[in-house]
Amino acid sequence: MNSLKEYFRKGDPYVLLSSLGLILSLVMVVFFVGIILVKGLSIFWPSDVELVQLKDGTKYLGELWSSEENKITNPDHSINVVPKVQYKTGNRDIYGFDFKWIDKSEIVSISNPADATVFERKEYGNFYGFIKKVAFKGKEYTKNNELFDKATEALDYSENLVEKQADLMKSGNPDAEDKIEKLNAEISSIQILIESADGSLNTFSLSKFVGFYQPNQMNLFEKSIHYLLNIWTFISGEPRESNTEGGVFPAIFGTVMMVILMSVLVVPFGVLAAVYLNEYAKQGLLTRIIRLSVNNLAGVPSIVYGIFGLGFFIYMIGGSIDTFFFSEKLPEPTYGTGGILWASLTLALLTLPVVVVATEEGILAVPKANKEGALALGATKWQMIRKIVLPNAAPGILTGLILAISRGAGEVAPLMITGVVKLAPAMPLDTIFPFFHPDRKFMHLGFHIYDVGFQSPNVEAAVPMVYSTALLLIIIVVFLNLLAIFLRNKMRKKYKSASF
Amino acid sequence: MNNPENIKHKKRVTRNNKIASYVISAGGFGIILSIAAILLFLVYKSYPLSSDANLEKISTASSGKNKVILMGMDRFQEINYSLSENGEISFSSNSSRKVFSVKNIDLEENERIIFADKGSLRNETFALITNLNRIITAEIKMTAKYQNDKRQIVPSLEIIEEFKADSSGFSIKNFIFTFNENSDRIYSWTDSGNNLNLRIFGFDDEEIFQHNLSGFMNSDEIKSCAVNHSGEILICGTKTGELFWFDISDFEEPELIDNWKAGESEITAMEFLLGDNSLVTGDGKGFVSVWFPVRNSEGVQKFNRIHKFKKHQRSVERIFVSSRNRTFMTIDAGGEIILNYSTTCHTSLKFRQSQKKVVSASFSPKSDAILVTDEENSTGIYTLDDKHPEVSFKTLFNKVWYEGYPEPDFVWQSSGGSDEFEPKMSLIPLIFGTLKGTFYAMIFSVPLAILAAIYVSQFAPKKFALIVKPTVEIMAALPSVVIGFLAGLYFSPLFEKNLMFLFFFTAILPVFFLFAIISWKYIPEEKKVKLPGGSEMLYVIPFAVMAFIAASFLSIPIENTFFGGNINQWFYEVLDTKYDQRNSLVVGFALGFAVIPIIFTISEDALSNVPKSLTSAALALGASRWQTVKRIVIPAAAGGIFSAIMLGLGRAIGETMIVLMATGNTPILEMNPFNGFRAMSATIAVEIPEAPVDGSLYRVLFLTALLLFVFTFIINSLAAVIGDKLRKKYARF
Amino acid sequence: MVVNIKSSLSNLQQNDIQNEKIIIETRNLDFYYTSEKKSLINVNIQIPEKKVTAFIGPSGCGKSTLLRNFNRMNDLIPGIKLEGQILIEGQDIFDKSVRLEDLRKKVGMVFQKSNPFPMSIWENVAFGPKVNGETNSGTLNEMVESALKQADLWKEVKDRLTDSALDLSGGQQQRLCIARALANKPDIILMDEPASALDPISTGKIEETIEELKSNYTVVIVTHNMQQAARVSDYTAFMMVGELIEFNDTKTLFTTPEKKLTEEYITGRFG
Repeated sequence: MNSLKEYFRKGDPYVLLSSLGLILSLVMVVFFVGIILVKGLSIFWPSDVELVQLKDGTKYLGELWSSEENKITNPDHSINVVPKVQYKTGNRDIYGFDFKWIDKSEIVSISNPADATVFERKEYGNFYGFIKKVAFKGKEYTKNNELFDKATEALDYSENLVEKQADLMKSGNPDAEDKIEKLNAEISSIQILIESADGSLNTFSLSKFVGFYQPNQMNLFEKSIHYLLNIWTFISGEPRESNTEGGVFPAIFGTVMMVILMSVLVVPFGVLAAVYLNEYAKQGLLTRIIRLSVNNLAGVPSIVYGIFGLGFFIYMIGGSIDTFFFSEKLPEPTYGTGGILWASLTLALLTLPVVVVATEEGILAVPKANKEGALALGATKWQMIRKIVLPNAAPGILTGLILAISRGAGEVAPLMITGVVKLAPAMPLDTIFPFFHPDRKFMHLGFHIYDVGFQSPNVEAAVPMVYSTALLLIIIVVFLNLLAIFLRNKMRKKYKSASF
Repeated sequence: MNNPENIKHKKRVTRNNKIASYVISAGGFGIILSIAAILLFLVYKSYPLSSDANLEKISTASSGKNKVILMGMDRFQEINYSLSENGEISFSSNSSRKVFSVKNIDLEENERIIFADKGSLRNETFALITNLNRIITAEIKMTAKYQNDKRQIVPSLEIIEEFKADSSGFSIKNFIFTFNENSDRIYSWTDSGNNLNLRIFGFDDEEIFQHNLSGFMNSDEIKSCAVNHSGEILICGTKTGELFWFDISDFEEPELIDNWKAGESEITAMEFLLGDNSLVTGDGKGFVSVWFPVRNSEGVQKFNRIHKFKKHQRSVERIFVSSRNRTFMTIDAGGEIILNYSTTCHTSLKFRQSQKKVVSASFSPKSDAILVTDEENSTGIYTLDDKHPEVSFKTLFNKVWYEGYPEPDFVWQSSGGSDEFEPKMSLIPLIFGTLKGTFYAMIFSVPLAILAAIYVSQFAPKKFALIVKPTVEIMAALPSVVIGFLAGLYFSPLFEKNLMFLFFFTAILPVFFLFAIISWKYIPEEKKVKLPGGSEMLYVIPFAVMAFIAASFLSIPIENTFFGGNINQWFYEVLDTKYDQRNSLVVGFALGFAVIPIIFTISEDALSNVPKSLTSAALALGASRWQTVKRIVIPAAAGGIFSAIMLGLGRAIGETMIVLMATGNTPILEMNPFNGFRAMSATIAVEIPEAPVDGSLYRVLFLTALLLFVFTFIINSLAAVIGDKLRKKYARF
Repeated sequence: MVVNIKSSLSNLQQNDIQNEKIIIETRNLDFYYTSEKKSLINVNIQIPEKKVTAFIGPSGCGKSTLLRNFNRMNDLIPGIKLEGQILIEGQDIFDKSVRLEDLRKKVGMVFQKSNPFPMSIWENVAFGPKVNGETNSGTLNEMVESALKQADLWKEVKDRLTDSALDLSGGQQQRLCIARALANKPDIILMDEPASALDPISTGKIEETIEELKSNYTVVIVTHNMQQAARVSDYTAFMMVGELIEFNDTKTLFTTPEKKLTEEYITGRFG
């Protein structure tokens, strides 16, 4: 007993305890990142389609989504375990749901029919079924072996026509109207007949489709290609179906635009403040207090900046701009409502402390001897700052900028109230004069996550998109942080060698 | 040297230097000021909440010789009308006070109006009763017309009905009228025979109901009556201070619900407030009270005296209520007018028109002006500036008894379905929510983060630390929206499904860890010394894994055996706590995860910066590794660890997206980890886009932001100042 | 320098290692910081009990390394390797029956730079007994007083035992560190250049303290100051590049060194 007491007094158990703390923390980190990686990357994979037949004769065609064991407590307190599987059955417009839970005990057979086809549609989510007939250019095709190829051909043809039509519409030529009508008729004549799992036949116009594939026939290589294409579509495509499908390009674009605008605003001001604090302000109690405040501001909740941005930038400054310059549009606000300019300004204010602190660090790392050397050679203070301080502090400034960008890219709360929207009708940068529209609302990856994950009507169908968006956002932020760490280390090395 | 080129150059350099100096100083200082501006702006936006009501007299003018019975104003505060006892309605401009239009209600000779009452808070429908017991109902409309962008208010009068009050032989002593949203018209009057007459015109089937309710009452003289705005409740007050509560919603069969003694003195005036719940009474001694029904312990609704207001010197004669909020004015026999707000029980101001008795008064439709006429027919117009009557220190931070609540409580419910909604803006549930989330996050993250920091800085091999540190640092930059989304959509269902596993794992992990500790003891000392750094961790991992495996295998049988197969259900049935899917456990976990990197990084820095000379000295004195850490390293790094915890705390308090996404955002005051909460930050994010600019909610949210700002600023300053002080103690190394 | 040594040697008495009781003994000791670089090469030394033994030699000669092996402080450094034996009171200190903490309690150490803990004077001195399990405050008080007295510090600090140790002067801090080591009641005190960071007066004080200590303790001191070695030690070992060149009583070593290298070093030709 005594030896146990001694054992505890000497403290090895606590060393083990601290190691347990580290283990748990690391497990959490790995778990968090792991989930997002797995879930975020797996949705692009074209998984096999299964045809499930139930005891009562119902058939479902879909992708195996998840499984769970439901416990049912009987009145006599015995417990039944009911294993269930969830299929993504699609066909929302017909079934009224996307997903179907099925009791495993109900299932009679599961097969992977080779010609099961997944159709990605512009509306109502995926459709699962079998192609039965393709009609285009006035011909109909029903032979099994040529159906898929013909359908592909038909889809290409249809897309071609749609493009032509769009070009005609853009030209605004009044004579084109007839042509457009004709094209319309032709486009809607390109049709496909699909048999769904329950045997019902549905005819669709191919213009309603984005694409289709037969996963059960694809080999690993084909699947990989399809997978990469899916990822590319996700990054470069426009969102569909209230953001739950398609791509996130506008959100990426909005995030980048906002971050660039923020950087343009924050860097000069941050550097100015840091230079002032270090080179011009009299060092004393006041500068100490200012430094402390700037440091503390980094810890002020972002939502506080958000509400400040809303009250000050949008309502006060934006409101005044509207009354002076855009009074003809009132009461419809132009600048007196959220927009990319105000959101960027708010985030610039939010990240200002980061830039000031990092720049100060950079400035402090400039050896005093260098500064004195410059002054001793007859340089003015400004020349000294411009030629010695700023170039040498550049890595510090850059680090601050990158940290600011990574914070800005990931911040959502202040943006929610200063100009981010679910779906922006137009991008803040386009080909219409004056090309850049600082008053426009914009989309943002972080808000996209919140909005799609929590505000969409069909969360279950939307969740996979959210994981991918989250993964994308994490990749961006982690990359920026790694860059900042790399630069910081580089800067430290530089001054270490310089001081010898 | 002094060639012109050179001089020019020198000049330019000097000038640039000067310009730079000015620009940088001005700019730098300006930026720093602009940061201070945030604080000032928050104060500037929330300060008006504390301002009191302000009344400004615009003008006084005489309104003719006849006694004024009823008054009103249009919603733009441009014109007012006054109904005199001879049936004349004169419309005059507010600014010039000149009468520009007169309309008449036709009366017989010698017929004089004795009472008139507005029937609705939404429009100017009123009914009057004459000395000949004739009742006339009419509506005044003041329509805004625009001509060449100029607004003009055009008044009109429409008689709705007239009939003879069935009180022959008695004189009318009291008359009230209600015109509800169904357009039902409810008239009630008492006469000198102490009859309580009720006449209801049901709009839907155009039927008239007549009742005499005196039979329900004792013989006490009825002094005042009030019908609520929906026309469902009739309340009468008597000379002895008794109140009678009738349910008149069934037009055919009104019934007495309850009667009770309100006080010793006669009830002289009564009126229902906006929202139809609260009844204001004034009595002969000048006491003013607000009542509303509250369910008592037997589940029966009873009117309770909720608030008592400042006493009048003389008996209360008239009560007028605002149609905007729960403001009302009480007027006593001496002409003194007091403005009260029901929810806050706050008397905003006291004034009088003159030393004379007041015969009539009215709020403007937007409650931004007051009309008062005294006995001598001098009518005053006052603008009332009371923008945030519903908010006071008391409503923000104290318990308030809201309509329909069984007792005073802290409630946050900033908006409701209708304009009649009583805003409930107590910051306590929000502050509590923030602290609750922070608390769970901190008890989860502080031990883990600090233990991990101790291990990495003191016991782990250097190479390992070089990988772990930057990894965790990057974790600090993970966008909180990602963590919040995972918490809300992945972890909360996961936790709910595997609650038993979670509990069981938490319970048996220490057991397995104890095995690890005990078995570690039996590894001979000399072998331990030879083990490479970090082997403790490798040693503990299998035990943790075993605990995990044991928990996954055993939790289902245990749940089936002891908790009836479903522990969530068991909690509900046995402990009476409902397990919400998005609850504080999930938030604690997610917010804790967000905070761990901050605490870990900063405390790890502090711990590894403890001078080696100190640890060597302790070891040389025969202290073990842990003794050195506990007695030397941790105290020496206390400043840094304190800063770390404080910065983590600051982050947890202000975090918005995680609490927004991972809790149910219900503003409840319960420490129970199985339900959610509503945090200050999330409330701002959700409610500010909907809040009318410069309205009460808007300013309260700014106040919330200000509080958050101050909270975090203090915490961060503490972290910096105390952390610095503790660090200085060891600065000589 | 050289002249001074000769003069300070004059008051040294002759010691004879043959008659001493040996307390520390190393046998064929090899020591590596990294596997490539040998820092101690086949060191064999016998250190007598209750005497002051000084290690001298140029920087990096391994004298501190040797000293730090006596209480196994080098164990803290990852990647080290040790061959041969170190015996203290006849016991191999690397034997499994020896507890590291007990060894360090028995073999106290004073470091080059004074390193009092950031706590009160009392707590500093009581630290060792406390971590070794003493909890009785009366006993602790006695131990603190006796240790401070032995370190010649008691008079100066007895009225301010609760003051921070960091408020003491440099020399006092170092004597506090000596007292802290003494409070553990060690048999041996290792001193790693204890006076190198101090002014001459403080150095003198420390040396006096060492002088007094040797009646009760074995003191092993590393110094780069030959005068100091000559002044305080009974025996001196001269080391170079990891090898023990010569070990003898101090007077003999300084006056009639056997090895040429020793002579060159003490006459200041190098080092």
